[in-house]
Amino acid sequence: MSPFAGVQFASPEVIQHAPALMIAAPLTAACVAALSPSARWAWFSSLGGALFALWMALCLAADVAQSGVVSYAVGGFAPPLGIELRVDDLGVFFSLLVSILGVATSLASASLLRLELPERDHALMQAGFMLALTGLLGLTATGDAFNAFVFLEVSSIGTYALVAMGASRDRRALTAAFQYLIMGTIGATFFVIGVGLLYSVTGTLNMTDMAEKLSASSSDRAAIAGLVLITVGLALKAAMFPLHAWLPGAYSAGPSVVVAFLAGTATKVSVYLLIRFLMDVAGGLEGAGEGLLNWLIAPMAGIAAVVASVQAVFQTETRRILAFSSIAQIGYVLLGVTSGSVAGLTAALFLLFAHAMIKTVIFLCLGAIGHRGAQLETLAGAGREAPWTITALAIAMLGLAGAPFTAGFLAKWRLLGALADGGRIWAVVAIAVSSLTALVYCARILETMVFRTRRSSASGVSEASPAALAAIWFLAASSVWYGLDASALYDLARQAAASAMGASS
Amino acid sequence: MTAGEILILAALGTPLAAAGLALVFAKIRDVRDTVTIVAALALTCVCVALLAETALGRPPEMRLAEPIPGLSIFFRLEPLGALFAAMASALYLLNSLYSIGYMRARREPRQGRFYACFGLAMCAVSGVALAGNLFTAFLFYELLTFATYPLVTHKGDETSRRAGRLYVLLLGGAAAALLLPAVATIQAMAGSTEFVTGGLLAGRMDALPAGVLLIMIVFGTAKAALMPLHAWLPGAMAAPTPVSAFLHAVAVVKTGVFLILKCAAGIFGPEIIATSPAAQGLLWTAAATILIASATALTRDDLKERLAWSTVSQLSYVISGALIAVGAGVVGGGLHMLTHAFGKITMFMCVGAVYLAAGVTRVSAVSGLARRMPLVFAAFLVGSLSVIGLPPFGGMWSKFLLITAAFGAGEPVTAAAMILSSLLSAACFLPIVISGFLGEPGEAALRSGPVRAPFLTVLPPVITAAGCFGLFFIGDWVMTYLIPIAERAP
Repeated sequence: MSPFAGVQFASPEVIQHAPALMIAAPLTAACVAALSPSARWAWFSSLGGALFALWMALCLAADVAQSGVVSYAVGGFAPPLGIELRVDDLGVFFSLLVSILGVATSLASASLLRLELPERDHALMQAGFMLALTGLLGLTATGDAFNAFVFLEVSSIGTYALVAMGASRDRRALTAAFQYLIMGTIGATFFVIGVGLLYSVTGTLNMTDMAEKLSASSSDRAAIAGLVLITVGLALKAAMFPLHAWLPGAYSAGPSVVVAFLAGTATKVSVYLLIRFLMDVAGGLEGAGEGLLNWLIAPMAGIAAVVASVQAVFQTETRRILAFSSIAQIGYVLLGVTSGSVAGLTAALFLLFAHAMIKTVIFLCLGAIGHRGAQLETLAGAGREAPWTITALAIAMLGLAGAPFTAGFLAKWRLLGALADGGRIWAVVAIAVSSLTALVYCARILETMVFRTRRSSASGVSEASPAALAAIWFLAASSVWYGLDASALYDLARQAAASAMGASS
Repeated sequence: MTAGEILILAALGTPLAAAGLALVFAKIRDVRDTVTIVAALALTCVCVALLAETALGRPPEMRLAEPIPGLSIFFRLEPLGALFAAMASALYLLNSLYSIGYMRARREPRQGRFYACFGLAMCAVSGVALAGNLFTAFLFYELLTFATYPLVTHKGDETSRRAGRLYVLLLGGAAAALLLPAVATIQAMAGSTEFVTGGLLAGRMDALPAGVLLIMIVFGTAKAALMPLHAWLPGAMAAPTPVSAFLHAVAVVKTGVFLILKCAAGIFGPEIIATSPAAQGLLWTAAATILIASATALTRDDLKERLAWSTVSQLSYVISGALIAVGAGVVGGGLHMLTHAFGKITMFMCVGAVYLAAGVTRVSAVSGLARRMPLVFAAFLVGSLSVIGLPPFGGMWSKFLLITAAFGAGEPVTAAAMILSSLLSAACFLPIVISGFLGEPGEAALRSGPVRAPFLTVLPPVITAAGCFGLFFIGDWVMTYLIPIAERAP
């Protein structure tokens, strides 16, 4: 039973166009923001775009809950020839995630940017942010493989520029952005070549159509090659081990708002595309998707969970610790995705949602306290200066460590149960080892910020602004709420998982 | 809402409210301390009511929430849990009195946070004690780790921070790496984690995989300090004495052994434990822990550290009780949990009082001090006698029961370790008392000026010492009360 069943957020005329409006709103906001005369106006337009996108995502969720799959022919050209926007339970789960985090980061963005960027850059920054949001929302909605590539590039190009803007806080942002650009472009190239191969086999770019054609043609080598290329490309974008090298640099040097948004959404949406292609599109291709999941992604995910966690322990910079933790968490999620059961995929999606909220809170907090030092040591005693912000950060860190009464705990619980039930003991062991090391770095961050006394008065830490606090506390409180009563989120995740698995059988 | 549900909510809510109010009134010390005392008193009444309800054969139960379908925060009383809750709340009350005396005399900083963490820890203890399934118990078990971390690091210096790091990493790490996967696996295999008389897994699982789970649970519950996961306990002595007295002699460690007892009786059941080779290996580990820790205690000069090592040893008595596959073992373990708590808290409170009055922390410095504070040393003597296991004190019954159960189950190694460790305990504690009463007055005893501990730090240990004596007479009643938990599967 979806929590959105029977709810109507808008009139039918609006709902009818919700898939397109959801993407168009931030795109429009991006143009407005780029042209706006002041930082304040840029912020308003970005907030407006994000809110409108969230509204449309909610409309879509209600619509999907009612009618199963929502198909929208862009420009009135009927699919499979025209571009189709196709939203099902799985897609809408990610649309909601992206748009919620979009609103939260947008709300906090103005005050965070003021601390990190010169005023004249704000408008451009907001425009880039909206472009990234456009791309990511587009990815969750599109039903067309080439269109997916386009949206992937829209969001990526936006984020390359955004990361580079961190140069005013940390000069390393320039090299980090460059590395991100190169790696991301390679990933996108792999992806588009893969799509090309699939197109050459099936003669269609529509994903549903492609899935049908693929199941008719029994294991075609070109199709398998295409699928492998797509997997590698997306793995790069999702920072799957060992293709994660771009992520720590981008996360540690980018502007805090950008990192907060990216950490919560960009890699997550790539995971969505992986699920979409391997389970849905390649579902009919005898064992190809399954083989890739079981023999390529699963082992890498297990290694990521352990190795990245251990690497996180040895980092001295706050943001780098968190970046490696993200890589490990992607490993957890992929372990769940590859478990081959609805329960495992449900747990993975649930964990992904919980982790996205948690990481966004953490990066927002780090930006909101206006601290410029990169080293963890320089944050000693920050809790005294900014109690509200650091309390929220502490809650999020506890969630990251999987402490009880947080969504992170329930998600990990479900994941472990599903893996043990499926007989994947090695995956359980990997997660157990990884949680152990996660506890080490979480404890270190918490101890430094909350329980240590400040060394010098010039630490430059201050309480977050009211708007930023509202965004931070909304997400932190939701992560606790979903630790106490997760049924709504869990139902959404289960339906999403069921729709992904159902299509593959 | 039934009376039982109200009682359960009160047992969880009262300490939680106390924690919140302690933070609100952090600066107004009289209000803050009154709140703690009133809450502790109320909690004790609630827990005694729960004990009575359970004794009368209508154990309260309540489904508080269901975070995910099929996974619920569920509470159900049974004799062992009721007894544990009642014991913890009564000692919480006494220890709160003691804390007030101690913390005020020492003029410790951050007392608001101190009492708030105490309240939160007590809420966690109630949660574990009343838990009706392993999931709930695990939630509150973890909460206890995080709630007590600020107490261990209360002093805020490098030593206590290092102790705190070890504390949270060992306890939290063992729980995350061993306990959580084990519990999640049980949930996935059995479809629930409810504690069932005779064992949830009985008949559902082979002895071998169940043995792996048993090992994961016993070591994962690092609060029970089975070697080699015991190092946090002596380290945690960096905390102020009331914390050591209550948490690290009673609440935290007893939560650990309580959880193991519950799992042995309610999850695995005697059949699996009797047939599993894992249980045998764990029993030997526990026997080794009993002996090594007792011997180590002898070598320590620091009073609190000596008590901590002795605690490590005594905890393994309870673990052994849980792993001896006869009903008397679990009952004896439950009883030992109770008697040791009274004995050890008495000793800790006395050590704290001696420290406050004379500034003495070492065994070698207590010489002759007893003449200046006879009441404290008398209470310490009673506590040690009970921990050693001599009549007429409660500790005797539990040791007697455990040793006979070990012999009865064909575990002579365990029985021998327990007997030998009792002798070591005697050698460990009696010299302290003897040198206190009869030794040449040392530097501390000769120092001019009054040697007086605050009244509030002397009264509680005297009461708990009286409790040790009282337990000798109601030991039989407690045993009868606990017997239902050791029943086999119908």
